[in-house]
Amino acid sequence: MSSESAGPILSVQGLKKHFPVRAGRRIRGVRPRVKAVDGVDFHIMEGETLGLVGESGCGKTTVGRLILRLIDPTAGKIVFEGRDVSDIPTAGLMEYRRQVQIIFQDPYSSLNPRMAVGKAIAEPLISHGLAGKHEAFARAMELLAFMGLSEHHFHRYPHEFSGGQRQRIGIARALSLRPRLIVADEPVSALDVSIQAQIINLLEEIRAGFGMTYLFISHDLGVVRHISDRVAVMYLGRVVELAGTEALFEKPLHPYTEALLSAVPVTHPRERRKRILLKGDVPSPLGLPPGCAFHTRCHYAMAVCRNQRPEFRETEPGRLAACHLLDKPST
Amino acid sequence: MEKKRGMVRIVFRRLVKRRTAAAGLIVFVFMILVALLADYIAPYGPNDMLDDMQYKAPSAAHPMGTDMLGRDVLSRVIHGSRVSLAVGLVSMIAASLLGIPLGIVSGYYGGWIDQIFMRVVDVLLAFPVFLLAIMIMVVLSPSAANVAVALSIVYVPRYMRLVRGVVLSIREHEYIEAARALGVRPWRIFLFHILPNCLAPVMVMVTISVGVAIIAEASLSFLGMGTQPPMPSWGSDLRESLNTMELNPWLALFPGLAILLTVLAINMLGDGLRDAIDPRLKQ
Amino acid sequence: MSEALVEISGLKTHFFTEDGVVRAVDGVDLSIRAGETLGLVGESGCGKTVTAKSILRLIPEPPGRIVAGRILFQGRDVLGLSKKELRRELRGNRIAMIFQDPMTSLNPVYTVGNQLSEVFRIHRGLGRRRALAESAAALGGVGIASPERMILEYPHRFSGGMRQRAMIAMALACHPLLLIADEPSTALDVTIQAQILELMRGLKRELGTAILLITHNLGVVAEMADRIAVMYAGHVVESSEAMDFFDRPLHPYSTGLLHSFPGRADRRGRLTPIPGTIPDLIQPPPGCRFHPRCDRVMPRCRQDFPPIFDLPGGRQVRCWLYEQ
Repeated sequence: MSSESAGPILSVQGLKKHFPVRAGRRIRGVRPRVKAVDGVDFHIMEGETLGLVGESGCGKTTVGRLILRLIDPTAGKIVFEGRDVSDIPTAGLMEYRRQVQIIFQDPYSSLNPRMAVGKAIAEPLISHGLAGKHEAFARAMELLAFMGLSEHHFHRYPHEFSGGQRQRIGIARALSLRPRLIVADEPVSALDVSIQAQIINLLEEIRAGFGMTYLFISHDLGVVRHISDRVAVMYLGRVVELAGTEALFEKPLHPYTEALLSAVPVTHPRERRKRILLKGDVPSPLGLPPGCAFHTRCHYAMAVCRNQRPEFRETEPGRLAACHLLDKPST
Repeated sequence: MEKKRGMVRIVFRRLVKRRTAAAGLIVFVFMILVALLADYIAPYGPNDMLDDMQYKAPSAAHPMGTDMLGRDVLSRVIHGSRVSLAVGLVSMIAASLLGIPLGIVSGYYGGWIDQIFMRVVDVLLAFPVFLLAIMIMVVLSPSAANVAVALSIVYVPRYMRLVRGVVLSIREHEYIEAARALGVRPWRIFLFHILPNCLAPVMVMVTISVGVAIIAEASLSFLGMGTQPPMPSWGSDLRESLNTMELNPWLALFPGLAILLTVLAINMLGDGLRDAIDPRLKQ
Repeated sequence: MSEALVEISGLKTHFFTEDGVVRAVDGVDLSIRAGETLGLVGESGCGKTVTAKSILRLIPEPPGRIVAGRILFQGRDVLGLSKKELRRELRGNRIAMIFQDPMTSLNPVYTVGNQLSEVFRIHRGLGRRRALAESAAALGGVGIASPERMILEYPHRFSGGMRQRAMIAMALACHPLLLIADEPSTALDVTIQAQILELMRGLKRELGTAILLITHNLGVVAEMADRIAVMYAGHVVESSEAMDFFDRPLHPYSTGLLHSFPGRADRRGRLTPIPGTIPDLIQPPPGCRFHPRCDRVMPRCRQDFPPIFDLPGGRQVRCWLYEQ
């Protein structure tokens, strides 16, 4: 890879987020907690797209919110361009917000229904004091044009637009501050297939044109495979595998990744195949099983998996995973 | 740039499509005009006592008759509208101006601020509107202005609670999260993101509570705690008509009708407003 | 060739709203053979759900109405049945339906056993105790562990996947001839989706139920469907055997759909999305409704609405490109 002097633009170390359960009873004096994120490590290089996949409850959305500091981490560090932003005060936070932005999943609730879309796009610039009203409005109109919308859409309200258009407006808004990194939280999941393709192409254009770095959060493996350079797979608050996209899809190392890829519907009836079906449902993040979080559903579970949490480490060059199966016997 | 296509216009169009709401609006506007132009349209002053004209039944010269002091009832009703409408509108607008910001802060920040505010609100809400108003009027000296003050105080907690509820539900909406993520400062979030989305239910509540306030003012005046004679007020006129109601029913009829019509119109308007704003806009 | 179980001809279901008449389904012909799985594919607003609901006459009467067409089930005219016959014979009995969102399709204030046994009591006339026993058996049949215990639980104790299984159990309780599944796995995680689809396949093998599978997900139809019908703006635009469809889609919209599908497209290449958006169903464009977005549009398409053309191999397409 590139020289060590160009470090990652974003690096996350030992990140944890535990939510206390308000109404829960204390067990041995400790209030039960939902361990939404339970020790996550990864980094993203500038200009790359890291896909973050997992099913509901795996914590990927929480990771996105943590990186944006919309919620505060319980433990761990978030390092952006070499600076620790895990608990900076408000002033520093404002500056950070100019660099890191977010695109939301639901185009219907991520825009203020009572604010004209042009103003919504211009607002961040005004609020940060980076531009006066006129300048900000002008820039908003430029962005609207870039999104394929026209000037006279400036004064319209969100309900007058389709889902795909609203998503473009949301993207324009995120771009208004010219961020370096964008967290895309399921940006196409709520859209029809043909509109999804339009938005994905748009995101790629932005990447090429602005050198944008993405953390692309999604449960849709097809989309992730298409757009990501590397992929991290999460399960119950932990990253279980991280590798280059093709490597991951061709040869998954972790049993969960294997099952996940197997579950994806085929793309042609001819390819109908026998699948690896997992037993049962995802356990509740409230009562995490001891040891490896996945062992209750794993076909390959061994005794050690029940007791000891596997370490997330490099098992092959450029590939990381957390699984006892991959531990080489010591020579 | 193209002209704004506001929500206001859409709502207004929807509103007038429904007949009850349109009727309510017309009557309400009519009442307001009457109040504003009272001096010009009333045939007599409210306190002009005409010789030998006491207790006259309605006639061509006096369509609503005259009262015990020979005053033209029509003129008194017309002038009385000023007090009723002024008290009703002012008290509710004041209550909302105070209640809305408090409700927003309470709902958005939660925590101990919310706890304290809501406990106070709970205590105040435990008293029925009218009872609390009476209690406050006992402390303040009776007058139309003080009635407005009392009703404001009574209604502030109600607006707070309403707004807080709305804020709680929209607080979790992604556009609020988006605003925070974009680094929009809290006061801007309150003013441009939260407030506009609260206005719809608040407007409906204002409209309907004006009706309640008008009745409350009339009732307080009726009890002698509100507008004092000789100031014309529908409520106090009703009070004074009590003694001779059997013989001179028109003295009670017309002020009573005025109250009825105004409040009915306001209610129909409020209902229509609620329907016009509600889910239709969220297509 | 097995006789058609369901035969829909010229179905038109319109919605009369304040803003105008929404022609959600505007002339649809469909047939489903006994025991086959028909995948009804299209994006939102194309009319697939409305078509399905029309079969069971579940369209809310204002503002909707079935204004034209004929629906035959086992040769009988569904639209002519009385409400009572509809309820007793078809709904829940010979035709069952499951819906997309498992979180809201079960009533939260009744136990799952209560809701399941309702089907047995109504349609098979069983008494309470027997109905409950059958319910437990049904839950077991869909792969829910400890069914005797689970029937006493309320829906909120069931996960999304379990609820969908319970829905399937309810739907199949009376061994219906047709199961209408409206986006049955869309709201589920992909590993749970795989379980549910596998379950449906197994049950279909066992019971020989025909399935009308409505979805926008081409992967799901690739997994499950014997035949595929594609809908756009209120019409069926293509219909073929699944294998033929994926080998060589005929209608330009079908081709566009398949190419917008990441995972099929060559990786890292640009996807070729279909430009534009779905048309307004109150005032659809003249001629072929897809023409404004079609990359193979001809002058005729802009004026004349294409009829359905029959092609060899049982394929049908509604497109002027295929006029012989």
